[in-house]
Amino acid sequence: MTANALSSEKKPEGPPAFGSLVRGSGHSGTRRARRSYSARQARRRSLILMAPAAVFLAMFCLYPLEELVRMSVSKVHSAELLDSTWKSAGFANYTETIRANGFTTIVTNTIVLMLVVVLITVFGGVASAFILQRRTKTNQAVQGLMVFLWALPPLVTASVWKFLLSGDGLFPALVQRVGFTKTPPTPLVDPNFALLAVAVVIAWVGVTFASLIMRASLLGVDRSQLEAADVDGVSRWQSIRFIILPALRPAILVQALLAVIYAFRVFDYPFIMTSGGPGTASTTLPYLAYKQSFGALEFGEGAATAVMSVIVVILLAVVYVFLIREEDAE
Amino acid sequence: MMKLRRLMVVSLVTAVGLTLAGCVGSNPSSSGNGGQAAADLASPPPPDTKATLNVWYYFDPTAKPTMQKLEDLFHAKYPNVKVNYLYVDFANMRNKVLTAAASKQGPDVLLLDPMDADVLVKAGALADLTRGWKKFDGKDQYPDFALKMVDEKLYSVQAYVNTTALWYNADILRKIGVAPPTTPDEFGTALTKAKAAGYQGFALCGKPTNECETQATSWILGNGGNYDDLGSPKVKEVFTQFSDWAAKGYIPREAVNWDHPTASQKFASGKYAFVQAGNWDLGVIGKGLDFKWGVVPLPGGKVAPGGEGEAVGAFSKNKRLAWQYLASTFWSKDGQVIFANGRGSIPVRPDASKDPSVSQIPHIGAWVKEIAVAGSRSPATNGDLQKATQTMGEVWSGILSGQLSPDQAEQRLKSEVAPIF
Repeated sequence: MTANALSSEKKPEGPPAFGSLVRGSGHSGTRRARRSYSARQARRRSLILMAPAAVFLAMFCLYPLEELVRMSVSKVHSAELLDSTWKSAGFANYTETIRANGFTTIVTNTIVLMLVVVLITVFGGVASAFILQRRTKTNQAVQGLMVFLWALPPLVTASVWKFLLSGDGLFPALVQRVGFTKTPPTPLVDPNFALLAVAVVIAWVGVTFASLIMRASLLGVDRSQLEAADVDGVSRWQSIRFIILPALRPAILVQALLAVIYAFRVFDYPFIMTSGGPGTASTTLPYLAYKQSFGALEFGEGAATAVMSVIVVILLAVVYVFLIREEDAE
Repeated sequence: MMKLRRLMVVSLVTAVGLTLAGCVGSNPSSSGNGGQAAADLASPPPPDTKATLNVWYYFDPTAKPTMQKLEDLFHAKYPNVKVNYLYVDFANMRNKVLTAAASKQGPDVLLLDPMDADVLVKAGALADLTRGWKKFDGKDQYPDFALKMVDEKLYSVQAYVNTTALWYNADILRKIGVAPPTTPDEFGTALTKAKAAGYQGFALCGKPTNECETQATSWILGNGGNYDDLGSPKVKEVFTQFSDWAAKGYIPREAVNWDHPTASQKFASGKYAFVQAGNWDLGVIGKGLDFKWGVVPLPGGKVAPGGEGEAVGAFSKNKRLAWQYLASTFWSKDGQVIFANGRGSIPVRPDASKDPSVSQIPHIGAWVKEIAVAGSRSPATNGDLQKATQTMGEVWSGILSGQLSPDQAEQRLKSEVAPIF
């Protein structure tokens, strides 16, 4: 049965569109009504399918966010935690947090951590993707190991690295044995290096994931272009610069943005590896929010810090969505 | 289409609304403490009661034999009650109880840092023990400091006292030719000699947390300082001294990543001349050290005694059983004798502390001497003590790591902590 036969035999079950009634009968009007009806049905189906996700998001994302924002403009200590009728504090929690001694340092720490994580993740991801692009057994084994490392819970990874970097751990002993230093270096307890050490470990985990993404993009590069370039006598470096890297650009951008977002919300690694210390040397905004809430029991101030972090993450998420759309359009 | 869309939106809003309504907490006074105030927790349930009691504590695994002996006391009365123990890290106990209370849940029995009691009472997490305590047989054995009162109601009872003192490695001291120090000068000399002889000096808790604040406070109190006078030179002198010791390597930089148990474990390795550790460590590391050691009061320090308060959870469904558990274990003379012998804790009950088996516990004399002249933190009059102790913990870590100079530490405390007192 052809589509035309179907359309001539079956009448639309729903009411005709308003426009078709006004303009009178006719095949074109009936077709428009049918198209309009099927479009409505499609929309209805999509709304029904979206509903569970929308309810889930409302329950587990929008509601907690709304409570977080409300808490950030309220006086909330331990006594008020169970009582939902929090008294308003205006923007006092924000001003207290921003004016507190060391807030600028903590914001700087967050930015430094973000930069280190992004740079190492992206460069490490691209470099390892180049190294692992050929399908050899060794490369496949390394990739499997990388997936395993990436999938490890942060608690495990951070604890292992804390042990490896401690004064009697493997890395300080190796550095001393090689002769770089006279005494084993202890980056996690050195105020000048603690943040850097935490950032490098976070980036190390990020590189494993970035490598997988970059490698997939690398394998998608048009081989004929590379072959043509080769025939034209283009050097390997020029091929990378003018063909491969432009092809990897969308993946690099998305990966960089994801790394930025991750760096702005990471809590577990500083918590386990340094407790934000020594002093406040490796305290970042998410860890500050934790300390304010569960160390000092200033839940309002903790919420204010969290809201400031969330705003940054949301802005970056918007950019991420925009980039994804642009990439899809291309 | 518009109707459908409206219907979808209304459904969504209703669903979210229902969620909000279900999640919104009610006033704790109506469901938490208030409801317990009238209950007579001391009234014993029938001996054949079958139930499960959940006990939250932060003792390390070495406490298991002692806890089993205590449980046997309880099971003599209630053989059909199962006791489940949940270990919660010390640093996270308060937060876990708070978050559980937020969803109206929690343990039947909890052992807590008495410093956290105010906060937990405000959050409605602890049951009111006032009426039951009036009927408790051994109540006359308890001094006032052991009873945690908030707004004239009793919420936790402390069974024993814990505090820190200076443990020394007698083998190292013998080799470097010094006696166990009794004054700050002697302590400094011993550290200098230990370092010069190639030993590690002084292990202590240096993480930027409330937990390590207790160590800082004992030295500040000992030097005559306190939270209500943070601009005093007596506070800065302590920071200057410890900053100097850390810079000279007498205190390892690694200490800023150590909590209390880690510092004790480092001492147990035999490489450290000293550690600031607790009487509870007698039951943790004290029994397994393979070198000669001893304990003296902190030279120049003054401790603010700690210990665990025992409380009944406000949301427990077995409060009377929880009471019976505590009454027959931690609060009884026999229980305190067992705990002192197993863990080295100093019983609060005089009849327990005078028991020959307790007074003969090796090394316990150092803590007894300290407690006789103990101090206390200034009362927080304008905010939570936790904010002050958290900041002090960070400053302490900053001093030990070299991140903060004594001047910067003083400045930070004056601007952030002083307004609380």
